[in-house]
Amino acid sequence: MVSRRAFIAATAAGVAVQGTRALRLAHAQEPKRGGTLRLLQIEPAIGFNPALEGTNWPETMRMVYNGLTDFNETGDLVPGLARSWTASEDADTFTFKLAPGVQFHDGQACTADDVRFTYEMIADSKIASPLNVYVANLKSIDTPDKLTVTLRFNGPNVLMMPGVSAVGILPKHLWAGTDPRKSQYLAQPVGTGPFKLKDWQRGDSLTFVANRDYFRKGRPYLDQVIFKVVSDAATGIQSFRNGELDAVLSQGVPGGLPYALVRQIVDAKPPNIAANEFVQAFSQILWMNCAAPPFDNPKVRRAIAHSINKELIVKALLQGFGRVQDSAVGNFPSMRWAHDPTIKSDYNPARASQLLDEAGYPKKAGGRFKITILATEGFRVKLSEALRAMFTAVGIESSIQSSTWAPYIQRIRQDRETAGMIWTIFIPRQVDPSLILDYLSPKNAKPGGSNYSQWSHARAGELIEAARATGNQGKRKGMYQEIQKIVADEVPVVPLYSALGVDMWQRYVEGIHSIDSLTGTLSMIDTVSLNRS
Amino acid sequence: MTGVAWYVAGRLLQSAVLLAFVVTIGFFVIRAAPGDPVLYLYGAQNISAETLAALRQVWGLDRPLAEQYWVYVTNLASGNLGYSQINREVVSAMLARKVPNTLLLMAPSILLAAAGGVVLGTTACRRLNTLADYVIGAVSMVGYSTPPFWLGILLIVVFASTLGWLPTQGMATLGASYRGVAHALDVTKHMVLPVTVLTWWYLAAFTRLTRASMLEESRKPYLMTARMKGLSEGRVFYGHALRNASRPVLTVLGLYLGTMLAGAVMTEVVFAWPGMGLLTFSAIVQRDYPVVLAVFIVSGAAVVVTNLVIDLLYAVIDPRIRYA
Repeated sequence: MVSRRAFIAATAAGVAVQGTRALRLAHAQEPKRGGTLRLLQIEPAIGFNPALEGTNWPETMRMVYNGLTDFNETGDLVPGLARSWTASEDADTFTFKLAPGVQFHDGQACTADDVRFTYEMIADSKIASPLNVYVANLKSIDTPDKLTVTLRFNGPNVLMMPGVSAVGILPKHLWAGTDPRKSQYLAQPVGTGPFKLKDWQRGDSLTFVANRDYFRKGRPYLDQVIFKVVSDAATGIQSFRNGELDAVLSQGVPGGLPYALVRQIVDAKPPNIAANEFVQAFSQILWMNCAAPPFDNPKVRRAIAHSINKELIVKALLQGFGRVQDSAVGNFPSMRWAHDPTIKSDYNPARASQLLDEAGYPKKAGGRFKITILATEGFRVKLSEALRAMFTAVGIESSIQSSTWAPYIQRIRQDRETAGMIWTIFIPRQVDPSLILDYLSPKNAKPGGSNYSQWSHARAGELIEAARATGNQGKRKGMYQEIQKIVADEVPVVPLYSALGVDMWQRYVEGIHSIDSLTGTLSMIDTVSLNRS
Repeated sequence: MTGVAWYVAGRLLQSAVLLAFVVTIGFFVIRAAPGDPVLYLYGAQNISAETLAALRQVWGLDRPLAEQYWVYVTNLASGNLGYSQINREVVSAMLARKVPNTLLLMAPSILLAAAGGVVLGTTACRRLNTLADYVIGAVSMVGYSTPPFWLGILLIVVFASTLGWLPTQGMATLGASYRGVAHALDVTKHMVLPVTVLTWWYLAAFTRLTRASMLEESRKPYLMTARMKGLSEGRVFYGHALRNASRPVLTVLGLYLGTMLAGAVMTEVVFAWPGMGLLTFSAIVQRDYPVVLAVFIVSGAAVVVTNLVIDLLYAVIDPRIRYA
């Protein structure tokens, strides 16, 4: 379940593969006003405070809130509540100029004080915000006037802009002095966004109505947007095909809609449905417990990498909705500058067998050694079965242990003892190399931390921390290139593929811009209109 | 107090003890399951072990289990079912919203199935070893062994997607602002498929039970006496045999009605019906402890109360039974 949420949480670059241009042309005329857009939501939202929820449920969060920035279709940051911004050369000071005349839904003006309040809440250790990591070295926030806000950090902060600048701004006058975890505004959010929450049937549906005082004049075009929760993906798809839902956005991923169902629709090209595939900054990554044998031996880990046929996984399991990923720093638009294209994976079972022999695990009856593949029900089990077949081919015996999400993630974060443990996790929000490489930092390797592989490499750790503390992109690039080579050689993780998302909508829906994630798509929901004839 | 009142008071006291057991066992079993709500929500985010620990502290999950149990039962004693940290809502409010939806789905299904089952079971018994008996037997066997989620998807494909007669999911048409009769009709339309699935499943159980029970009753000597008195076959069958045969049916009806508050998990999931089943399903997956416990308590209490009512009804059906 969480992989789905994790999936929709991404906020970065993307490229519409087909159809977007045509859409733009169609949208050049004045869009029709009015109507209700009905969208599928597989996992219900729970609350409306971005500081508390972190990157969860951005699709509904973005209906009511605006961030200082937004992402556009090419993964660049564009103005949101901030009309413009500047960053100091060493990336330790950021100054935002807010758009004037922006109002919250209750009519109060949105000012620099609200921005300051929101970022202070994210940075407050007592709040324990999941977004805290992006502003961990915050020093101070100044608001010289009502429309200017300056964030100062102790040293460079390269994570703030891609990580949290698009996070929604809360109204200080409603949240200040209350316990945010018990606030009534968690369920009755007041923001600056294009829509106001009108009705929330928890676990069932959310109804939003247009904010007619929205700061982007003339928008939104729709009167109403309803998110309908349909936990069963097969029913969700039938409902969409039946015309009971108008759009299914960014769903072709683990935890979302089954690939086969989506492929069926995309290939069948029904005349009333438009579909659009697009690149997402999400990586499916294979992790191994490097703290215990046999994966404490780099040769064994290299052998694992050589034994995996990524092309086959993408083709057969993902029905083509993915791209093979070779380097830990993926080839995503917003981090292409750091990506090392010379790193290529090599599917080579013979080489894998040779490495295992060298590592002291000769081929014998009953397997060279036994490993455990952890999985969660659904897609991850299928992926694990494919991996098991590939491991068997090089003489490694494996068994699959499947559970629900909560025990799965607990085991991955806590269990450092079980030998031969291997699993997959989807890493979203890949807008900066430091976000993915943080998962390999020795400082996060202790039990409970996010360095799931518990790989502790002194030089890589040094570079990861140094690159994060460097403002200059040219210097960072050099460091990231070196880290990628170390990771490719040491193989603490095996990147498998990056995901392709799929948006599908009834043809009368206009103005949908497929971006890297649902966040992106819906951050522009103010451009969507309905043109039923 | 009368005898019946004493009986009811005694049963209620027993029930309270039983529910205390349910709460205690439920509390420790759900806590023994690996994973917790903090990990469920934030485990896959780039979040440090320290932040996770801080969140557990905020949510009170870091305290000793015995202390958490004590806090829970003290709150419960004052009628407070707790607060769902993961859903950020008072648990009683969550239940109050879901219970009517589940009743709307389950009550008609069970009652329709009970009525239909009695008719079919009696027919099968009256026409023992005829084609009608075999057909009813075969159909109820198929009904009992059909997984509700499979039947649900099948009905969606046929009646919603292919024929387009009925909606695929939900309780009402999205975005429609029907009122009064139009709203009732809209909800009824949405009820048809899920109620069919549930009725189909329960019907099989009631049919088989009624048939077996009637068969047993029809061999008893008192029916011979009734016939010798000159009563018509219909009177013998429906007036005497069915009345006595209905006790086990009533018992099962009581059990089903009692458990219906827990909802029908798979049917609610397939049809996106916002009821207790869907709530229970997500609460268990999310490790939403207070909600899981509240579902235990509410459905446990419902089972206890319905069974008490059924026991009292026995006395109405069978004058030999007295609670004194």
